[in-house]
Amino acid sequence: MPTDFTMPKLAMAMNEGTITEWLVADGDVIEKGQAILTVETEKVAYDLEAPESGAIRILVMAGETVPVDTCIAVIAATADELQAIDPEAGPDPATRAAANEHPLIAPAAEYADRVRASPLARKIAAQRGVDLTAVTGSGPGGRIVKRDVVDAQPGAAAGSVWTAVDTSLTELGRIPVPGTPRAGIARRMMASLQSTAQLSSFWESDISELIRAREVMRERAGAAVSVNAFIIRAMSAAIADVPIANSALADDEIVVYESVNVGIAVALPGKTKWDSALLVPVLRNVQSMAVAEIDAGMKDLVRRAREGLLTADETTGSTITMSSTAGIAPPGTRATPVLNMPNAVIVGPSTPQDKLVPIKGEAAVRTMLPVSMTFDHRVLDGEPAARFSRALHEYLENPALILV
Amino acid sequence: MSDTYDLTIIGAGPGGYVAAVRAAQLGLRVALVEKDAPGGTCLHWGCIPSKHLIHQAESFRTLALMEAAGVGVDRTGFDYAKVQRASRKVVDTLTGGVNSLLRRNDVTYVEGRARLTGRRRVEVEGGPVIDSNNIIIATGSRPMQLSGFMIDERHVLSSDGVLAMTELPDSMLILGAGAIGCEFAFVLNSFGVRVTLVEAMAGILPGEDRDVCAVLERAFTRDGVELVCGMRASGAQRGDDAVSVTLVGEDEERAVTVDRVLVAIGRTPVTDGLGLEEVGVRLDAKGYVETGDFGETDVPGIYAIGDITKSPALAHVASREGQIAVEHIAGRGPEPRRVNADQVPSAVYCEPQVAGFGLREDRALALGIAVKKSVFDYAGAGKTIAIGKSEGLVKLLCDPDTNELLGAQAVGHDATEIIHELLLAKHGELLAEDVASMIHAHPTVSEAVMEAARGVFDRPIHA
Ligand SMILES: Cc1cc2nc3c(=O)[nH]c(=O)nc-3n(C[C@H](O)[C@H](O)[C@H](O)COP(=O)(O)OP(=O)(O)OC[C@H]3O[C@@H](n4cnc5c(N)ncnc54)[C@H](O)[C@@H]3O)c2cc1C
Repeated sequence: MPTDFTMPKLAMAMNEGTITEWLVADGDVIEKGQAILTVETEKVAYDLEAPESGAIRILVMAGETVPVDTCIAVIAATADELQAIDPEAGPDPATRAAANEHPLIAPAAEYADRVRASPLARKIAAQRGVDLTAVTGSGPGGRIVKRDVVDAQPGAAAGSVWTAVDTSLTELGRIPVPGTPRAGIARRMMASLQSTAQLSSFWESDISELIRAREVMRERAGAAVSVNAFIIRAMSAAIADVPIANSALADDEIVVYESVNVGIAVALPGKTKWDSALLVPVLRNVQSMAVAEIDAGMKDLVRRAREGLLTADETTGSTITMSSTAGIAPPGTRATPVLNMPNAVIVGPSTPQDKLVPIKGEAAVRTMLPVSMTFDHRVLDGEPAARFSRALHEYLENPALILV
Repeated sequence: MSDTYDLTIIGAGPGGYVAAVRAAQLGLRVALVEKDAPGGTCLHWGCIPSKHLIHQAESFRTLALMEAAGVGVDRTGFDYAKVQRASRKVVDTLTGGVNSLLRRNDVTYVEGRARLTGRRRVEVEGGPVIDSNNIIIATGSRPMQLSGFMIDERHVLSSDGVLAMTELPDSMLILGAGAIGCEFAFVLNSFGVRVTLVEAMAGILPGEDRDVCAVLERAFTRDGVELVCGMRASGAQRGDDAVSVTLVGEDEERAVTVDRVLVAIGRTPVTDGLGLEEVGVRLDAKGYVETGDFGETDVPGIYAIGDITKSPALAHVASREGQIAVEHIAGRGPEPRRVNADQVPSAVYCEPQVAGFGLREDRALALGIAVKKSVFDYAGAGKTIAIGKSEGLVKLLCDPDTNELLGAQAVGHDATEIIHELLLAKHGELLAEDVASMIHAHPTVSEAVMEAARGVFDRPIHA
């Protein structure tokens, strides 16, 4: 009798495991006690031993994550018996492995498959062009059902998304939502908060040196370089130290980028005198730019964003985001910036303020920049995130390091 | 019983007793008042004894199959009283089951007739006064009376009387061909009673799909049930051991003399004498309680469930309404607020059985709802031929754009079981494609469901 070899529960909290490597090949004859594969859980990697001797048929390929108790291989007493279990599989394990790998790629390529939605909801979404990743499910276990898709549709009754209007109150006016940029912003913000694991931290960086450097540059070149350009330069330098901050979780993989493309949040006037709009143009390949170059590129983007001249290319492809409220928010403001999906990190500097700070035992007036940062804990943990913010802090405080 | 209960429920039918158990599970202090025995109409004079009789009737019919195989069958010792007694035994067994369920869950069971004497107070006749923060009324229904046909349970019977009957009459006229009328027509006809089934509407089972009813009508006619549709009974004359009934149609009048008459024209809610209106609960002209979300009446804290509300008078509806009300009282999530009418299965248990849910074809036509229709005959599923149950069909109505299931009906052997696959599909928002592409065991009646689903977007294989 061939025996099933299932994904074991290696720790109390373990629900699934990833097969990082098979140490034996499909069809191999193995010895009881021999290490046959490596399994990784959220916390640790384990080598698993063969529970008995025999010939092994591998059912789940390396790279796959499966729930505990899933059968991942079958062990038969002999190679012949193994053949008998699965006569259609053909004698050549290599072809089978190749064939098996195929379905591993297919579902990953289509993100929609990772969304939990009823078949009817999927069909209606496809017919009406609704992005299911941005829809919140209200069905059993949070599944997206028909009403969610119908409600999420631009043009759907506004009442289904926003609360009903109390008509007894005197109004200033009404701002249309469906079909306007506001609908997109609302969807993106909700999707971000509901589908990622956001953690924010705050600190102050002493930018007195940076301000001085900026003054020197202005005296020399006659042009003022924005503090934001320094911040972007510092982010780029910090990324060089901690590359994981410049990444995204796409399907089942974390993609760490070499290009540093900084999305810069730009506030724009809204449809009416009460509301606003928001665009995030992208300054590409910042990793190879000096501060002055960043400054020029950034100002050009912001200007064109305000004039409505951005191309589609210029608003996509960011790898990290900066959203500054400097000059608008009260000095010292801290916030919890909402991640700009799919970026794993957003840096949110605000309005600096002069403070008395002890320097070598003496009180000194220094310009302190409040910085808030949010990161996606699905992608990186507190330790690398802290190293990144520390590096960013150091570069902001010691601009000489980033002026080279 | 001086201290206050979280919840008091009046009536221990499938609405009330299920609500009581659920409330106890959720940690509420709950009292359940019942004037008879727990289980209600459903257990004592409805679903359960009638299904037992149907089962016996089917067994009795299969004797003919044995005879065809050469077995000599002697029917002379047949004693209907034994059949009836067996049905009461089933009722007793299940009553014991409900009793112990209530005990195990620590429901305070109070015997007696209850009425409201305040918005938070229930008085039991000859018993305690119960103060309660919430009250659920679940007093169910009774047979509807027909003028000129006073029910005496001797000559003119209600369903209660038929279920209590220990002797079969030679002939029976059944007024009303709804689920109850059809089921008794099947039972009595199977045991050899000459049955006349009278329906005022154009066909039997008004409200069910016409194609579906046609299958049942054919079966009834073949088995010798006389169907009289489009006529109403205008009066009766009782003789010593016979009743003469006058039937009036559009341009026809006819007198039929039979041993017994069963009045099965519907049921009326039991909402009188309960003190409901006195505390502010609103009733409609027919006596049904007006309810809103969670079954709450106009008086906050007083709820109504089951046959006394305007939702379909079915045991499973009563039970679900009870659960919805209780979960709300216990502060559980806001959904669901009501039973979703599109997902309530109807079921008639004669052979062939009839079951369905959601949109029906005549309504789609009347309302101008575009549908894609697929009908598959039972005979196309080999199993039905093999077991001699090939009369029947499965009908699906789907949205033409999405193939969303809007309604489904089935008639035939085990129709009340196979409908649930389609109901699950509806409930889980699966599409016709999903049902069609699922492998169904061969040979099964359920293959007819798979083929009907296929017919929605492609052609069935066996048609
Ligand atoms: C012959 C027949 C066959 C049926 N077959 C089916 C079937 O196959 N499937 C199906 O789903 N449904 C069937 N039904 C319908 C089903 O029985 C009812 O829908 C169901 O019983 C309703 O449940 P309920 O809890 O609302 O009321 P009931 O079951 O009627 O229970 C109400 C209870 O309240 C008690 N009560 C009333 N007034 C008071 C008072 N003042 N104080 C204390 N107690 C009181 C009554 O004694 C009763 O026990 C059938 C009905 C009949 C008559």
